[in-house]
Parts: sequence; C-alpha cells; structure tokens
Amino acid sequence: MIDISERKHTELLLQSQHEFSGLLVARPDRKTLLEAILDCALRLPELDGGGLYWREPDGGYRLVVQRGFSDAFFAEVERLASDSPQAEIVRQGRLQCSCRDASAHCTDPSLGSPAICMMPRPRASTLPTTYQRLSMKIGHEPSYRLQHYPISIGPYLNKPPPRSSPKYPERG
Amino acid sequence: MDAAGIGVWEYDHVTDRIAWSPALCALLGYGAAQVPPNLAAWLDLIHPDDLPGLQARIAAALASDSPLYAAEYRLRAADGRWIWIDARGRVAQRDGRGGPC
Repeated sequence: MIDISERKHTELLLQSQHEFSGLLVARPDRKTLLEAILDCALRLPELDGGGLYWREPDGGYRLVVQRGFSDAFFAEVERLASDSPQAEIVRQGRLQCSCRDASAHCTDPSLGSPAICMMPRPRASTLPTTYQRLSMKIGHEPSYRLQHYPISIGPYLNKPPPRSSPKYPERG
Repeated sequence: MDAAGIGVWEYDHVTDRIAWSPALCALLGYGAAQVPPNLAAWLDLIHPDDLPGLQARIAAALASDSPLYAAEYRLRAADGRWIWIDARGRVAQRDGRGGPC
C-alpha cells in the first residue's frame, strides 16, 4: 500500500475547478452560483457541511445557502449581527477557527485549520459591499497545502434568480 | 519497501487474521496493538463510499485466478483523517478448488 492522498486531492481540486468553470460559462444566476460555490467546496474531503453568508448594508451577515446544518444550528447562525464576534472574524479577512469551545486544532497554528473559509475580496475602486472576486482557502495540514482559488464572480452577483431555481438536497 | 514508504499487509483466510508491516502502521499512524485484527475490523476503517467497490474487487480476486488485486480507496488514519491508499495484492496460495488458503 502507498499513500496517494496528495495526487487524489490534486485530482479533486482540478476536477472541481473544471466543473465550476463550466458552470460559469453557463452564466448562472446568483442563487445557482452560490450553491455551486458551496457544493464545489464541500466536495473536498473532510468537509461535512458549510454555508455562505451575504453581507448586508448594516454590516451584518445573512446565511444565503447552507448544507448539512441542523434546523437548530441554522436558526442560531442564520443571521450574524454587525457587532457579533463572528462578523468581526469575517471583517478580519483571515482564515481562523470559530469554534465555540476551543480545542487543540484551534490553538495550535501548526496544525492548520480543519475548515474552509471563503473570503470576499473587495476591488479597490468599488463600494465596500461590492465584491468582484472571491477566494477559497483550504487549510488542513498536512493533508492539504493552503490553496487559493480565485474566481471572478462579479458579473453574476447582480443577475436576478429565475422564478424556479433547482433545489439541492440538504445533507443529513 | 519501508524506505519507499510502501506498507505491506497479509491476510490469512483460514484464521481470519491480518498482519501489517511497521511501514503500514507508520503510514496510518497506528501502533502495533491497534492494527485491526481481522477482515471485518479492517473494513470498518474503509470510507463508506469506497467500501462497496472494494468488496467487489476483493470478491473478484478471491473467486478467480485473478493475478492481481488493485484498488484505490480511503482508509481512516489513527488521527481521524482519511488517507487515500493505492493497494495491490494477490492470493499467495490456493487450495485444490482454486480458493484462497
């Protein structure tokens, strides 16, 4: 037996990028795009669920798409007030663990963070709430090296959703 | 093979016992006492999505004169991570009816 994890992870990342590029060619609406971003991320190993937040004009964040959240957890995290600790983490723009109870992987940076963090990058010439690029960081040493996956999504964010969007099954 | 990072396993079909080489233990982070003792315990370490395909390959390798068994699947390492494995093997000895022994 030999360890082929690095090759498999590279294959998976390239496949996800290829499929995501194919979706962009089809010029999806905002909802479809956000669902695809999250699904793309969750195809990577060790990830069981996640969500994407939309920044509101008041500085808070609203969960716009999620997978794998229980109803109770969803109710707890659906809205992040602008003065909440979680919103502050997002504003800092750095990958970090937001576990409520600290554990070993939260406090030892050398272990990396077994989480995925997708941070919007504002373009300098635009308003703070308009994001043109989005960067996906994957950190889980030693399985993964920290990776950036820049995607241009600006043209899709303001496209209105269709009357009926495809529904994705929620994970259990 | 240890130097190349290749782990070796051996399964005795008669006694249902499994042996891992030190390199395989190191690859997955298990101590010698933590090695799964039998096939069922080993299969418990396989990723659920990979298990059906792996079982089919094992059955095919056992039921015929297949010269080589080869499979790629995920194994749960001692620290909880999934490790992708390229595994190859063959039946070392068969009885008079062609079954493993």
